Amino acid sequence: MVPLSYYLILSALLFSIGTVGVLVRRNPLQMFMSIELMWNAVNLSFITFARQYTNMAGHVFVFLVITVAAAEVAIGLAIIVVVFRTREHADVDELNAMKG
Amino acid sequence: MNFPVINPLSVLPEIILLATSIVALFIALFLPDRRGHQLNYLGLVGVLAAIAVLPMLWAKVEVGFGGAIVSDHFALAMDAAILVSALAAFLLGLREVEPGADYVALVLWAALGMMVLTSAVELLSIFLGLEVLSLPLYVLAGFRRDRTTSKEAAMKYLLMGAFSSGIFLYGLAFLYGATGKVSLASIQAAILQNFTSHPLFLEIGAGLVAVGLAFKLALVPFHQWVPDVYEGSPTPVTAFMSVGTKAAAFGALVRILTVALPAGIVHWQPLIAFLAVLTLLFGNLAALRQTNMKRMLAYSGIAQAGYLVVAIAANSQMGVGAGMFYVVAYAFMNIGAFAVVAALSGQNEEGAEIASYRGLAYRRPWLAVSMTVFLLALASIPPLVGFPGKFYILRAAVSSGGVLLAIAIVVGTMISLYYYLRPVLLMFTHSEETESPFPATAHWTAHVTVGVMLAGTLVLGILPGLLTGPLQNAVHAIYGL
Repeated sequence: MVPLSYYLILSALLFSIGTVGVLVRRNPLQMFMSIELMWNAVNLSFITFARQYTNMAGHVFVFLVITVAAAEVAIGLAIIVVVFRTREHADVDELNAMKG
Repeated sequence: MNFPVINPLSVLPEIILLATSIVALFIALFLPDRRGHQLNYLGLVGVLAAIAVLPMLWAKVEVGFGGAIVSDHFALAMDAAILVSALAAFLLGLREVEPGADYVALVLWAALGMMVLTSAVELLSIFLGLEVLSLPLYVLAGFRRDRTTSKEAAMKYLLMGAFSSGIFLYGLAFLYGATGKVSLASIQAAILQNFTSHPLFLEIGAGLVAVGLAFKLALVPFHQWVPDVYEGSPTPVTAFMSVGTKAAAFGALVRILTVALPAGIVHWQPLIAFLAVLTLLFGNLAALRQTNMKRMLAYSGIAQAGYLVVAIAANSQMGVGAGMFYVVAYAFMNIGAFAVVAALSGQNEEGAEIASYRGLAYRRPWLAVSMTVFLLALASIPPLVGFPGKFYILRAAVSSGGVLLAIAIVVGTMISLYYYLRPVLLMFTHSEETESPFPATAHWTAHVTVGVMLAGTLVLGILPGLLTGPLQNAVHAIYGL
């Protein structure tokens, strides 16, 4: 059997990739996908820990996270569409009406 | 087996808010244009009803949902601050946002999420509370779709909010992974009895949770989204989210860090203290060079969050009590200041520049004097409510050995005097201009808000004892004494 720590390391790697993606990418859709990657990396951690303790709380947590993530995507995409309907490129660096 | 007890009493104020929002959405179906300003008053009634049941619930601690939600004195006190800010969102919203059922429902849901967050004592309910408060606020920030700044605010808030939620969630995963428990009480018990799988997991978990909430609380260096979001959002929404989110995030931080993770074993204190000092210095310095009133108040809000976090860093019962007092004080001062901004600005926020406040005292004496009181309170000049608030925090910091934190507070306050007093000076400077950039009249509800906040700022400033008694109970409640 694969040791549980491998899953935790994989989850940490995925989370880091997501974090770097948010910080480096400038396209809001790609940033949003990176955020989703972070959330799902966390899900993997929850499942691993649930396996380790053989209790169901981690599984329940993952279901809740998936549900909330779905709601977040719905709202997020709606906002992205509203913002970029009037613009040519989807690039967060162009969102600079406010400064200081 | 035993079924877990649901106990609706533990979420009675939340149920009232939810019911109001559903009624509002339902009524909107039958309105000719599916909107209607009158629904705003319905929201107002709902919030007032929720405030009215708080004293009735004060008598007894109610535990609900199998121990996931606790309606104790701490939660109820924070709920009061949250509901007051929701009240302001409705009172101020009438003019600027053209509210309909959607606005009413979104504000009520956000307030509901905040209240769940302050009364949540399980990781699951904490996460749900945080998300229920965040999602409606993303939409509310962009509520004025016709304005570029509002859309931009929504976008920035969404990306930073979801990003910080991810970090927070990872922290929760580590807390669960370290102990195998989801309830804060059993996590604490596991830590105290040394039943943890890996001490490093606890440290990482505490750190990630602190960073995730630092985004919500607007602590430096996780504050970059705040000025843009506060400036771009409609003013009523800004007033609501600046106070409500801070109260809720403070509640969660207190419950997770000071109560569930004993500072002697899990070393979160240096991190929080570091963030507090950074926030106090940077927030105040950055506020100095602002020319837009809302943006200045945003940076002032960052600095104020710094004071709040010092109370957590003190890690004592006194610190928690002082922080709670400060949340209430901040609610009155800050909503008051935003209410004046909202009363002065018209549909499109003309005149949000500080320069346009010149000579205001000669044209709109009532609003100018009120603004002066709120700004002086934020600068913590006695006998206004900011003064006892800051005094308690200073006291808590010093008595738990945080002399450096106390020095940071004093330095930050000194810097803040400049930017709080500059608009006051401008307002009382005579100007030759006869033409005012502001609309001639404000909606009566804006005046009511200003009046209520003014009363709170003055009364609690002169008689802080009115609040400290109940807060003492609240502190005992969370420490389980």
